[in-house]
Parts: sequence; C-alpha cells; structure tokens
Amino acid sequence: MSKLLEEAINEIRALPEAEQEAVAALILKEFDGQKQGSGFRHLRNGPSGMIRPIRHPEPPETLKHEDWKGTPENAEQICDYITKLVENSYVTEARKIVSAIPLGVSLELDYWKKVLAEPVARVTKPRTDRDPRKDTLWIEKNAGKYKGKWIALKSGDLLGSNESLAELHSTLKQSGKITGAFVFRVGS
Amino acid sequence: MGQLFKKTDKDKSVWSTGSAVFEAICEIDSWSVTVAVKCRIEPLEFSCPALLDTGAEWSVIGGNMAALLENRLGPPIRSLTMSTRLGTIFGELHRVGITLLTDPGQGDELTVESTTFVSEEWDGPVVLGYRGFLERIRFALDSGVTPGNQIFYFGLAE
Repeated sequence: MSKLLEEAINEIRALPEAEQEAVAALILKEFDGQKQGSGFRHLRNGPSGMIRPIRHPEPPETLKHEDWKGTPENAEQICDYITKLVENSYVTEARKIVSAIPLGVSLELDYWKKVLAEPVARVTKPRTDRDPRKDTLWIEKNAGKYKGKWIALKSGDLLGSNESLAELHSTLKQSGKITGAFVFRVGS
Repeated sequence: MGQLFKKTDKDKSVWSTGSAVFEAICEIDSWSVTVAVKCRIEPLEFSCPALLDTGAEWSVIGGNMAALLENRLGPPIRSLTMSTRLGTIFGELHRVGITLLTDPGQGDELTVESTTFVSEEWDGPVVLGYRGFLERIRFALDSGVTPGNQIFYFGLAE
C-alpha cells in the first residue's frame, strides 16, 4: 500500500464514525466519476454547493499559543491562516480572529477585516421609471433574435445589443441610457 | 402590495419590505438556472439577473461583469480558491453593495453590503449565496401555481 493511501486511511479512521461514512461515500462517488472519464471532481463550496467534509487547517506553529494579537511581524502568517480558514469554510472563526485585531496593523489584515465583516442590509427606495414585467414580455417575444448577444432593456424597450458587454455598457453610458437598464446575455 | 407576517405568541408583524416576481427554471446566458432574481451590483448603474443559491457559500460575480467591476473595486489583496461544479477558480473577496429589486408597487428595495467572490474565471451567472449575503436578510419564495406568480419576498433580518 502506498504511504499516501495509508495516511489517508488513517486520517479517515481518526474521524467520528458518522463522518467516516460520509467521507467514504463521497470518495466512492468521486472515484466513480473519475472512472467514467469525467476527471476527479473537487468537493465544492461554490455555486451550486453541496455538503462536504471539511478539515480544520492547522494554525501556524509560531501562533499556536498566542492569542492572535496582530503585529506587523506576524501579520503575514495570520493572513495565510485566515485564507486557509476561509477556503475551508471556517469563516466564523476567521471573522473572530480578525475582529479582535485593531485596524492599521497591516494592509492585508485591514483587507480581511473589511471583507469578513458581517454583511449590512438597508432598505432603499426603488426606481420608479421601470417596469420589469414589460421586459419579461419583450424577452418572451424577441430574445431568440439576439442569441449570444448582451442586450439592455428598459420597460420593454430595447436600448441596445452587442456581443461585448463592455462595448454595450460604454455605448449606453455615453448616451445616458444605462441607468435603470436591465442587462443580460441571451443564451446562444 | 403583498406582505408576509411573522407571528409570535403576543402579536404579528410584517417582515417583508419588498417583493418581486422571480423566474423559475430559466436560462441565463447558456446556463440553466433554478431560481433567478433581479439585482443591481454597485457601482454598476444597471440591473441583471442572478441565481439565488442557498447552497453556495459565497455570492459570485464572474466573467464580463467582473471585468466591468475590475477597476472599481480596489486592488486585489489576496487571491483564494473556490471549488465549483465548473472546477476550481481563483478570485478575490470584495465588499460589494448588491440591491434586490422590487416590482413596481411592491415595496422597497433591499441593499446588502455583502462580501462577494469576484473572479473573471467564473463563467456562470451572478450568484447570490448564503455567506455574506443571504445570512443577513430574511426571505421567502412563493413558488406560485402558474408562471408569473412566483414571488420572492425579502426584508431585513433583525
């Protein structure tokens, strides 16, 4: 048996029994996909995600016994660890670490503090000069003629179409029509 | 205006501040999308369709939309990976204001200062995911009976 395989088996054996079963089922599923020529698929956390086994990343040795006081000297190590936590879905823990570190320790720690902050929602007044139901009717009748193109609609009026979103955006912006438009690409 | 209520032992209160028809099992670009809602991504001036995906950890903006935003979000500080059904992609997390749009006469819009994964490598539609977006709002889907009657209700989670 290869060393890598032996290590993997030992890691699975160390898991609680319920998790062992879930991991084994996922490995078999992925292995089946590989056998069928689709290549090895990663366990995924992106769209559209699925439940997946996660493994807590090891904190760097030098920070294991510290209380995560950020200093310019250890900022990079903390940021590396935060990245691993986020990539492995331990966002709550990453949030807790960065929220305890004051602003100004390092540019990157400030970045993590900003992006990991709790989302903030606010109610805003809607634009009144558009009717999306008319856009839907337009799409049902006309979208087929614009396959593969980006189109911009406003209350059932076609404002423009282009194969490039950047060009469509630029044209509409120059003509003052971009605000409030509904923009999407028609499937080809 | 349709509204939804939250009932407690003592009273009931309206929790939805706005609503809009959503598209079910539709096509965005060449992707089949189960639930599509309309949103506006700041600082872009236009609205676009987005996949509402409670199974996605992060909201995702990719491809052409990400390219349009590139110079407006600040410099990339740290790239990270995300595993998706389309493979592993690289991108950056950014703080982005995303507004859920209402239909006329159906209440107010809801803007979330959200944490969003921006990656030009993502070819799929704009995704509104759980972490950094849905986790801080209250929402409900009324799947309706006939097309055009599917309603997406949303409000502040307090």
